[in-house]
Amino acid sequence: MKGLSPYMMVEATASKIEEENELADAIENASFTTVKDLQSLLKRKAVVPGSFHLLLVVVLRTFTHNFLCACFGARCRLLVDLVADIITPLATMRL
Amino acid sequence: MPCPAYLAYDEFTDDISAPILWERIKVTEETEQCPELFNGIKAFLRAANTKNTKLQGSVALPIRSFSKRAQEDALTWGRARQEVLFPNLKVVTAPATPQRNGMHTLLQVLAQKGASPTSAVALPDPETECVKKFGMCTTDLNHILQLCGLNPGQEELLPPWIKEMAVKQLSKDGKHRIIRKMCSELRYEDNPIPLFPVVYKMVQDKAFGGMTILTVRQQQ
Repeated sequence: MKGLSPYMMVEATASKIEEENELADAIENASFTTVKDLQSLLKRKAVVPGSFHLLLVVVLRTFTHNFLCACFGARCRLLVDLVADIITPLATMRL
Repeated sequence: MPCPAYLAYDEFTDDISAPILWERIKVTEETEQCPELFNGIKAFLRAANTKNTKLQGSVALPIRSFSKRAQEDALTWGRARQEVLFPNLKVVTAPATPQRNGMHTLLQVLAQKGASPTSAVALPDPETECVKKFGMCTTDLNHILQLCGLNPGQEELLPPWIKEMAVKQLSKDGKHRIIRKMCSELRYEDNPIPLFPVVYKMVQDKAFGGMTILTVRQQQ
């Protein structure tokens, strides 16, 4: 997975995140690394959200309102478009 | 050779040189009264002018006549005429002579800065300034501006982490600390951003990848 994607916002426990960061540090400091090792850091299995609530709240809102807003501010075009075209219609459907 | 009197009206009492008369006659339409004579004088004057020019080798004109600017009165008159003839066209013309006040002010500024009037003033390179300030070239900066929904020139509105990450000699831990701080101010605090290595790397390298959505929107 490379670049901006909602699938970066997968649910994970703090220990799982810490484990992956430690692995990344270990690979960086290792004297011998393979392409497979480096790819394992970048590769992330896309997880399909189990419910509508998870899709809307956890994945999309975390990606747009939390991540995109933190990175690029509230004027981010991708954020504005996602909210206008996807999140708001989905929230309306839920109601 | 007979010549129409109106072409030599200012030289009735003196001789007139053939090149001058040629300059006058060559743009004159031939007369209906006696075209043969007119063509004869024209051919004579052309031959005399050619002979005279050949002897001179080249026409020497003073260099200053090409380089000097028009007089201020002439420029003022020209501007006034232009405004009358083309009221919708606004052309800014430089003054005929350097403004004494402007030059005096420039010299004063240079004197205050301790620089010699003849020394060259080093202008900062915009590319270097951009790298120094934002840690990226102008092309990357424009890309980030586009992602932030800003236009070129609105760099001051960029999120603060971009400037914070541009500090030289900033360690990897320092960069990660900035990213963690950036991701701590959340709208939905119940859904924290999972800071996997791939997220750290993407923000750290500013490698945000594809622009498909923005490109499609712009084309519309």
